[in-house]
Amino acid sequence: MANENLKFRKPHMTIVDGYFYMFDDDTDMLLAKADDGTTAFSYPFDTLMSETVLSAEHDGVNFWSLEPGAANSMVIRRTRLENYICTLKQTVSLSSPSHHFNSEAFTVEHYHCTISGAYSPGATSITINGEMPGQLSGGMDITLQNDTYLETITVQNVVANVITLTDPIINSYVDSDELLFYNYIWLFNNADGTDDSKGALYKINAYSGSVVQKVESGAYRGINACTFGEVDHFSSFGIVDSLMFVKASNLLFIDISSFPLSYYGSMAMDTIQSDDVTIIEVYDISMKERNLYRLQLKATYYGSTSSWSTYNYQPATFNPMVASISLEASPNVIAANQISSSDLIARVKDQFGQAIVARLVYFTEDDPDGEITSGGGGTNTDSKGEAAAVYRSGISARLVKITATVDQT
Amino acid sequence: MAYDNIKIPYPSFTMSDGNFFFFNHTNNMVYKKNSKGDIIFTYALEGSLGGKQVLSTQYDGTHFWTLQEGDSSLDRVIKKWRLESYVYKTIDTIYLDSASTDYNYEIASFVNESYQTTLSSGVSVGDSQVSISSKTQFVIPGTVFTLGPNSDGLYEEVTVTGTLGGNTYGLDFFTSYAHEEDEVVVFTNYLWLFNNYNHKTSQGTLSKFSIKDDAIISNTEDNDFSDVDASTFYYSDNVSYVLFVLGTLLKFIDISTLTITKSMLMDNIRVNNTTVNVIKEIEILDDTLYRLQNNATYYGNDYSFSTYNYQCSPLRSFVDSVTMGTYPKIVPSDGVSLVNATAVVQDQYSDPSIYKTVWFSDDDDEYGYMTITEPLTDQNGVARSYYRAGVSPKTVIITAFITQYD
Repeated sequence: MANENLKFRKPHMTIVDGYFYMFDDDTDMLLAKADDGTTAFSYPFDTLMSETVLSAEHDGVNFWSLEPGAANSMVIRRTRLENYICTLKQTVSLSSPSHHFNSEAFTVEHYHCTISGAYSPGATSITINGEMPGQLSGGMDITLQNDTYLETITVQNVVANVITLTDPIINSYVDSDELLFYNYIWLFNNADGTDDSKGALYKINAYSGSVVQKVESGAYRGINACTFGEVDHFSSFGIVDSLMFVKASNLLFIDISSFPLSYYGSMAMDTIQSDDVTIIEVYDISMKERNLYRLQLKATYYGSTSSWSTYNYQPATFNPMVASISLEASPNVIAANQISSSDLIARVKDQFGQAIVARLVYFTEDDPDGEITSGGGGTNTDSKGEAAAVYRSGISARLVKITATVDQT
Repeated sequence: MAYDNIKIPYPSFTMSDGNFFFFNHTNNMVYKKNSKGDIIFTYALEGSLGGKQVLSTQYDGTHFWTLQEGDSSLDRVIKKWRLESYVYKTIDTIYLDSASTDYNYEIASFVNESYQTTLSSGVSVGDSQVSISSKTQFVIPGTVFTLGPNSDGLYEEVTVTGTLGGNTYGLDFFTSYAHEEDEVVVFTNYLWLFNNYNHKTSQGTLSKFSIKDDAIISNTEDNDFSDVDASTFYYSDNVSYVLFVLGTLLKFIDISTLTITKSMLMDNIRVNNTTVNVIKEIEILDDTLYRLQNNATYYGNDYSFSTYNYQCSPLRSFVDSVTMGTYPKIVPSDGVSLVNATAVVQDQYSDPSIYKTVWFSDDDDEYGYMTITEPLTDQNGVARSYYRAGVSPKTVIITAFITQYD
């Protein structure tokens, strides 16, 4: 079975409305593909490309791309589809004697809000529903859009959830129409300042390109894939605007509002080859609702690793699923006398390493004379994700295989 | 039947909560596996292993400790790692450098003498003292307590300056976080290094390394301490032991006297009864010894694995052997004569198994019989019975059977 899908020739992607986009520097086109790899549409660039894009993002309005620049510099471009052309709107050149920019992953902090009330052409003030989700200030842009119109206007100032614009709007909008904005670029850099032996996460003003914050950590080095999105699957944290990045076979979640920046979650992914050791590289990620799409050249399906000549996506879900079960027997060496017993504990966890509660676990053993005396018929996991049973030994000295089974229901 | 289980690619592992962990130097990750070998979670390292394989791993209840080769084959690096926010961070690094000290460090195994206890009372931000519930006899000025995680998931290290009486200790600085009563406290004062050198001389040596002083403070020479691959720390009945594997024996060194006080026989020998299955690492969990091997012998057959897998040995006293003696060996088949039958039962430490029921039986005719069929072993592990002769001349087989219920 061929497990390829997108067949991208470049190591990046971003998803918009269920379509997968790739910047093709061979043809100078932005390609939109369906999930089976069929090219749905292509958009020529108004400004020709000169480098292969390393990472791509979409903020709801704009496409963003990361390219290598001259030595120790990177280039980030913002483009937008206008009249079937991918039009260059902004070029952010990351170059500074104080920093060596060498990155393969970036994302754009962006927010989607809805407006409160109806607005007619000429309005210069917009109120959003609820609190301002991220930092929005004078000089930044907002984009208003509905099924008919889309316009981008510069902000003059913001007070609470009221946005005053520098120019009046030119279209009509009704309550709950979308208001979108972006503010910062987050760049995983393979240098901390000019120290190329370290890694750092850079927060960069998306309008000016100036460095706002820099956090050094080895965990931020060698990152190929990251994205930004609203995450709600950690029940204890609620909805969090999260910076997500792939480190080895984990997806790490950073709450960008935390200070100092800290991880608040980690998701184990199935990016390990069938040898159970080698990591499959993830080149880019994109998030759509509770699905994560990973761009890879290899994938492991049901114990077998496939390699491709093109890049294809592998999905992962943010919905908590049974991801692992471990079994412990204590003591695990007992006499074969049909009397001695061993306490069994099975621990069930999801892909985030969190306990799976109230899930039936079944215990079985392969000893013809031994038996599961308690809990074999199915035991629910408790608040720690643990289910207990008892094995009583048989009469033959042997290695007994005890199996705990849990299903995702 | 396949006897491989955790399928670890490198000869080092450690355990926590019944799961198995190993460090992968090729991608700077920690793998967590279940007993079947499934990867159940992975953790990135904040930092790098420098591409050098981990030789030995230890777990102190909060931290992982790794041993790696340093810049040369006579240098070693020991790192202390802690899981914080889903990433393992380097908390401390100890460099054992042959060029800058008067030692060569050819070490394949080390032991972290660590103690776990709990706070006996809560700690507030800015406190300059802490109280612990146990293990006070091991606390010295300079001991570093790791407190936490607290309810916010935070840890902190505090250094003891001295005792304030009882189980309360003064600190050299103020605490940064609040900690609740019964929160975990771990501390390590010493590492024990199995070195093939004493200073620069080739000689098996067990070196005691003081973390506070960042130096070796004592050396004990013994040829048995050469080429040790597997060792760990064990605390039982108020005695602290360094355990190490010597062939098919697990040796217990009482670190207060530096004498071997116990020796346990393991089944890591092949069917030829000569070749030893090498043990690359050991761990103890719930009084069970887990041995990491790439060869194992099960029920009369040898198996080789392409990966490293665990085999178990119980540390609790477990019936290991029973031997029979009879006197006299020859008696007339007169239906009257008696034979003393003695069964000696020992555990894996060659200690007597006491108060165990031994079942005596014989295969003589209907007139010969064992006078006591189910005696208990005494303090010496000896159970006695008597065989009363039958009336037909024959060779009689007397059998002693024993099992273990706990």
